[in-house]
Amino acid sequence: MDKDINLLYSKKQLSLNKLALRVRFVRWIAFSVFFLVAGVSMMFFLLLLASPLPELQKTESDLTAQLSQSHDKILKQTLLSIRLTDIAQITAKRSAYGDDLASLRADLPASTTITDFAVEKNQVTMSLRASNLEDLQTYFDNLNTLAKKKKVLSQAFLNSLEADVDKDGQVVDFSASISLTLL
Amino acid sequence: MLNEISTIHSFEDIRLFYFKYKDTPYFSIGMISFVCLISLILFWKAVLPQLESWFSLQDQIKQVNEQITALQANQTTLGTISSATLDDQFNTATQSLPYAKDFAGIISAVDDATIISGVQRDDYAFEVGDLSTQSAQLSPETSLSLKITLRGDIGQVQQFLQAVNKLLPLSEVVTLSYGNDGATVGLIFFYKYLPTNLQINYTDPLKTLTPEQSALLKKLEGWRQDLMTLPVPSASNSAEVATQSASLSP
Repeated sequence: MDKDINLLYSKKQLSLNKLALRVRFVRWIAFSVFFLVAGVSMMFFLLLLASPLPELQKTESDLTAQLSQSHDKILKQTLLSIRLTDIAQITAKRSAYGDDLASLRADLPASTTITDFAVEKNQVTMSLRASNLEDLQTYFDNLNTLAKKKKVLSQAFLNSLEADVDKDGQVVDFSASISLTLL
Repeated sequence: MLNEISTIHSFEDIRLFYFKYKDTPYFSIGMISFVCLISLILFWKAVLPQLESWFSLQDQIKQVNEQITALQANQTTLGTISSATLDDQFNTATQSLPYAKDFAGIISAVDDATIISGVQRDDYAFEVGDLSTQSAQLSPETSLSLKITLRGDIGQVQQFLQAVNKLLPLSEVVTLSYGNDGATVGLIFFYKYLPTNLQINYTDPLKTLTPEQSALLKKLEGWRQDLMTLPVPSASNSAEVATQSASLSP
């Protein structure tokens, strides 16, 4: 057999071929990754270039310019809203002694009059004069009912009840002092 | 091979070098390493910043879109508000809660309440203080107090209290003392300075009136209308007003 003629690959040659194939494969992967990265970079570049942001910013500045022409109106509307919030707080908290007095006078019997009336921080001190005790009693009952129903007042307290006697020893009228706590 | 690299001086040398080593494992490994390095640099220096920019851009677009929507909404809202109505509403609110110490309005309210109730009142005075200085604006004080003596029966005093409660500027009766000599009423009249730090941002939603605020405004406008239909003060009342103006503290 001629030693120069050898149609089969030797083991060493086979292993070298295998290595070369692997190297080619790795090279193919390396180039693929390179083109992929370059492609992705190009894609992002184009996406950034084609961004609608400048156009949107122009629309925004146009709208802002239009609204700035109505600045006074916007300011007035804003101040109105703030002012109404303040007014609502005031009207919700402020006392209504006029209405309270009207409610207290509403149930007052005909023969009974208020001689003194003082109110501060929802505390009322009231002096009454009546020609008969029944009317006073009726009024006290009315005040009690109001306090129980938590209408106008929350508490009624009778400080004193006096009977005024004339020279003949006859009771002329009655006077009472009451303390009330308004709601 | 490294020695040979140092001898490369021309394009021809590069060509010869390439053809000599192109089939060797060194070339392939070198080429792969070079491509990988370039890919890595490209990814690190170009793709990552671009990705970051893209996300940032999307955020900006979202923000600008939101601002455009807010601006358009404000423009639509503004279109529905009539300037004349707004002026009228603003005047009512300002008359109700003035931006400064409205001593003229206070005198007018007291006079009107007097006319409505039919009580007689004595001269009165109140301390007005700073009118529009910066120190006054920074002051936490938001009301002017006033003590007034009235002569009339308890029914008239009650009417005075009810009337003053529905007159502008807004006030509150803080004390009342009624006796044989008449009544002494302690009143406070409210005011509030303009907010010093108010900034108008067109993208902030325009504050429209809530149903509660509209109802309140309607009530105030009703009081204002009632005030306009009050009878003109008689000559004696006008003379009393002049006396009060003279007795006002500066």
